[in-house]
Amino acid sequence: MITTSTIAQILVNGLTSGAFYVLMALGFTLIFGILRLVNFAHGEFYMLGAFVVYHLTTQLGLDYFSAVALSALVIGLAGMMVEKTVFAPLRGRELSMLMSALGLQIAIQGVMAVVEGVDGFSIPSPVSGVYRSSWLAFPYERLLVVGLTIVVLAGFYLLIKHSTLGKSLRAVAQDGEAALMQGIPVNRVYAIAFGLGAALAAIAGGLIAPIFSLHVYMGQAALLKAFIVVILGGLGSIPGAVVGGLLLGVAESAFATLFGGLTAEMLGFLLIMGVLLWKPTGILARADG
Amino acid sequence: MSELLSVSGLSKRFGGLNAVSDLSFSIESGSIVGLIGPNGAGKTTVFNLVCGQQQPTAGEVRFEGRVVNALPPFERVRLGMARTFQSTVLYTDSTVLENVLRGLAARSGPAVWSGVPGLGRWRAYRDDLHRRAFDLLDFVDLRDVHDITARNLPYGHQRSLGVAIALATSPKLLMLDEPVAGMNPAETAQMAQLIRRINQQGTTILVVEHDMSFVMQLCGHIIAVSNGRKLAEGTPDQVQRDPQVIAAYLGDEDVAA
Amino acid sequence: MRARSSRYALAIVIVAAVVGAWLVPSFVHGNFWLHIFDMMLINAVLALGLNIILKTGQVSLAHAGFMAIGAYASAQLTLKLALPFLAAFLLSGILAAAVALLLGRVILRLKGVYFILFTFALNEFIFLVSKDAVALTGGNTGLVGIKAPTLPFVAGSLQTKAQFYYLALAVFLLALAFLAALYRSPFGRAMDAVRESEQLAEATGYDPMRVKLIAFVIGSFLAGLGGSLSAHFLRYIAPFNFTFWESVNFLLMNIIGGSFSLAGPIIGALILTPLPEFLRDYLLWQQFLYGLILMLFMRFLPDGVTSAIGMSVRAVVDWVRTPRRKGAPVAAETQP
Repeated sequence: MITTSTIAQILVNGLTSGAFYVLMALGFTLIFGILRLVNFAHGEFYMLGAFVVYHLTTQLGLDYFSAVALSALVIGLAGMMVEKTVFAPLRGRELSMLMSALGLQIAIQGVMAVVEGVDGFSIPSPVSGVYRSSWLAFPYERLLVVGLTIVVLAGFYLLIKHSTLGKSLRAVAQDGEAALMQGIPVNRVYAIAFGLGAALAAIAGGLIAPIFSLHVYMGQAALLKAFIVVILGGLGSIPGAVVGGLLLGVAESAFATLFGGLTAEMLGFLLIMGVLLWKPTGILARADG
Repeated sequence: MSELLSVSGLSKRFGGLNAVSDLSFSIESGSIVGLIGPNGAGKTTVFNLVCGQQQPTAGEVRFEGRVVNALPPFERVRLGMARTFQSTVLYTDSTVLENVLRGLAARSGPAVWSGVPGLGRWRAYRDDLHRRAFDLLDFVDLRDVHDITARNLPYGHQRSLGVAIALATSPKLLMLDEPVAGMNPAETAQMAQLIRRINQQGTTILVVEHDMSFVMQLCGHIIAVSNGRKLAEGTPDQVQRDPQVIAAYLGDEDVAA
Repeated sequence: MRARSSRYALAIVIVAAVVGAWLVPSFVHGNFWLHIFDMMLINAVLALGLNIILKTGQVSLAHAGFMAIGAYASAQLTLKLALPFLAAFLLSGILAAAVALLLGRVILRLKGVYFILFTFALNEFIFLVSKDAVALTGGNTGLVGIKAPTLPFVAGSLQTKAQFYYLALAVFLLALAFLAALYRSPFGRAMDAVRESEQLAEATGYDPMRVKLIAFVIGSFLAGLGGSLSAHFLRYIAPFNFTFWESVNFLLMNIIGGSFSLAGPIIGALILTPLPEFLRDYLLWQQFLYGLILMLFMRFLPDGVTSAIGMSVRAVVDWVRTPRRKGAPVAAETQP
């Protein structure tokens, strides 16, 4: 029976997972837009981000919010180094870059499996309780995910639209060679874009860590979601990542409530099959795209 | 002479923009026809509509009397309509010879099992293919560089190779998209020479070109378009004197070129 | 002259390789190594199947998915319908090819990265189905008790790894011979043309869609056959045999070996199949090393081992020839 509160619950769950998908897809699509790289290792930065938060909070006693911020910074810098060492030498060879990203994915997972083991860990939630009204129950920890995502998105928007770095990023995304002619330090922009993407994934990891347990293989599923979202929204399109992420989150949540978890899991595939066949450049792409 | 290609009422809309509107012209068998117009006049769109790269919003393209609107590009090639590309579109990682062989082999060939040594007429087929390829390379003067990778050829040679690949499909109508764009005067003269020789062998030519002097001295018949409409049609002299053509080109610095 | 003598040399090498391969079970004893040799041949069939798809310029990450279709089909046809192995084997190839034909008409319109992303998702989809369609696939526990292959006119079944080896070798050689003939035929030229420039291929009379579809169907047929072989070799299949990582593995075999010749995927299968065994001493670090090796390969040998060998052989040949060639007219050889 579908009631107002069912619909509200679908939206609450859909927004939470949607917010998470948006963060994952944003970095993924940014990296593709700038570097032309299908970053198969994207899920691993998300996993690393979650683990850094875990260690900072449980072992160093840092508060949750500082831990997430610090984790984003650390993983962002690590991402820049990875770009310099692994991808910069392969510039322009798309297939080699893609295969290297696969290698990176396997390697990071391999190292973490040795260092952390394959068991699950959990982080205590920084907030507790549930916001309740007559028709809505919104756990605060989920509200926190949505709220922080909005903060991150706003910051990202300001960075892209109103900073010198943002201008450089947009120029390189449009045409790397032309950007080089204008005197933009293209190589640094590549590294920064990758670092930014990795940091966004790390934030997603930090946000999701208190809700689900973390383990070294958590990246694969997150990567798959990022894939689906960017196909829905259009590869390289930032508004597409936001719209596609929310769409997938809410649609999955609706299907899970109405038809059960398995159908919801299949839904993503059916959606992208539909979109790819109907409009391969994504739902938000312009006609000439 | 008979009509080889005829285009009637051809129109193409992109969104709200009329790239080509109600264009009609025809090409006599054996002629060299030029399609000219200032930048953005819709020349390339016309070219793509004729080749089948794009579908017209309205109108008809007939080749040898047959409506070819519904045919994809590769089937038009099989009827005898070949094209070259504005930029140098080649099989850049293959040798010059292989580039031409691919053009030759597209239309026919023995079955798969003929590839097994000793079966079928594979060797005879291959020898025949190579002979025809070298004949073509002789014709466009590229025999000496037949084993060079296409990407390493000088620009002028790359353009000749593009023509050779199109010729390999044995076309009745060869459509050249800005064949001398980016060429120096010596290369331009050579290309004009090559186009005349192709024409002398009985192939009808349609040239889409920006370079006025090149078109004026090469073509017997010229169609001028602007804003997707036909402005004038006739001999080079007639077209050059046409007040509408002069007006359309006014301020376009390429008239002098 | 030179062409003829090198053709004889090639023929001798091929005959020697076939005879050598045929004799492997007489020299290699012990199940461990025989197991690896069997797996090499199965993987080589699968990698060859992917090679023909790559040859048209489509990078597929769904090859393990088509392998899964073949493996489950073959297992169930023999288990539930009691079909003889050979019939199930061929049907599993045909089924995978039929799925490829149906899907290919639409998905081959996708190019480059979009095709890669789609096939990635397709593989995950097939993986999910193999986990969830319990009635067909046995779910997570998979299918056990798959029978060893039987052949007409051969008594008993191919129980031992040595017996299986000959079956796998025969399938591999047939697949190789077929592809070698196909690559030399006009269709091989069509595939090269479509890979290098679809635009130009279409403008010279090739139908790119048709060429890609035929290659995709043949490649998936081989994937189905490989899946059937592996099901009847391992006698047990489960979803984890057909993950995305398996697809990556087949792609890697082509890239590491070099995807522009038929030797490439074979060499790739020879290297990659035993690699986990070589890394077994470093079990803890095995996964990390695998990833590291992959990255190093992309950095230093992006065109694969075959091309590296080819280049060094050519360098040696050039070096040997150099003194004699001095002053010789370069154009002399160009006359037919």
